[in-house]
Amino acid sequence: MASSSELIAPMFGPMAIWIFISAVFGPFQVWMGASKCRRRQSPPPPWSSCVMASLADGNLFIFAIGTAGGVLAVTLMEFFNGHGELFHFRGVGISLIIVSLVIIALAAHAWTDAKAAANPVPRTRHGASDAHLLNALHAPIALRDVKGSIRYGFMAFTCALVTEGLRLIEALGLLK
Amino acid sequence: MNSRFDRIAFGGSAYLLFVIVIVTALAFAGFPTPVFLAFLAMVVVTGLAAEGLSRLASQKLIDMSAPAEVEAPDQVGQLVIAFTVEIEAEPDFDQTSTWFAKTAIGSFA
Repeated sequence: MASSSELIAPMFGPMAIWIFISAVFGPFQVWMGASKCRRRQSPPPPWSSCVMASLADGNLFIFAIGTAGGVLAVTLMEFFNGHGELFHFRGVGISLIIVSLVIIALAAHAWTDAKAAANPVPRTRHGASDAHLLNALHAPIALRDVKGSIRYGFMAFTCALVTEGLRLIEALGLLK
Repeated sequence: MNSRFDRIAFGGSAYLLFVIVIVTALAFAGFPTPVFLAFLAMVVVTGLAAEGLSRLASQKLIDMSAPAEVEAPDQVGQLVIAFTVEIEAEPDFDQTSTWFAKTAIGSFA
């Protein structure tokens, strides 16, 4: 019977490519951001302001959707293959499927709703409303929705920790 | 997020329900006791971090957005001054005429 470690082994190659691309483009993105500040002759913002701007932009809703989607994909893969710890401990696997589906649905609803709540669409001609919606998607979310985004981000993070924790304790031989 | 459903779904009670579901699933999975306790500690610590960070970030963002509200009266005052001072009205289509005069397409037309 194939273990989770054997199932995840083929992912090491793509993961190495992803780390390489991140190592190249991560510093490149930082350099581009700093050059924008130089062109505008404004001091570059501290990292804490960048984090707060990211939170105000509602990026944790997107993080929650992506992470819960990853958990859902891994759990479904183990269920369809009939291998792995999430298949063996079915109660945990089924709970993770249900919870990740709920997180994806609610975070997707909340992300668009939080953007719209911060930028109410005026009742005008149809074309103008479309243009306003496009602008609203680039605007920060309402302050009251920041707490919700952090909670949903941590929910998805906890699901990922449970998934990876099961792989880790299996690799360490703690389930025997 | 104005409805009652949204207030429940995105409040602390939703996170509490999530923790109860995950801990219940882990409790009945048949893990060895140290493994279950490790998972329980991880879920509790993550939950406390989520609640603490959400309150901290919310307060920080409110503080960051406060100066904009304080400066608002000055902006209103400047707008009032701008609208009360008489300015020379620009003739209609003045910029369009200038553009036609300065460009090749204007001389061609």
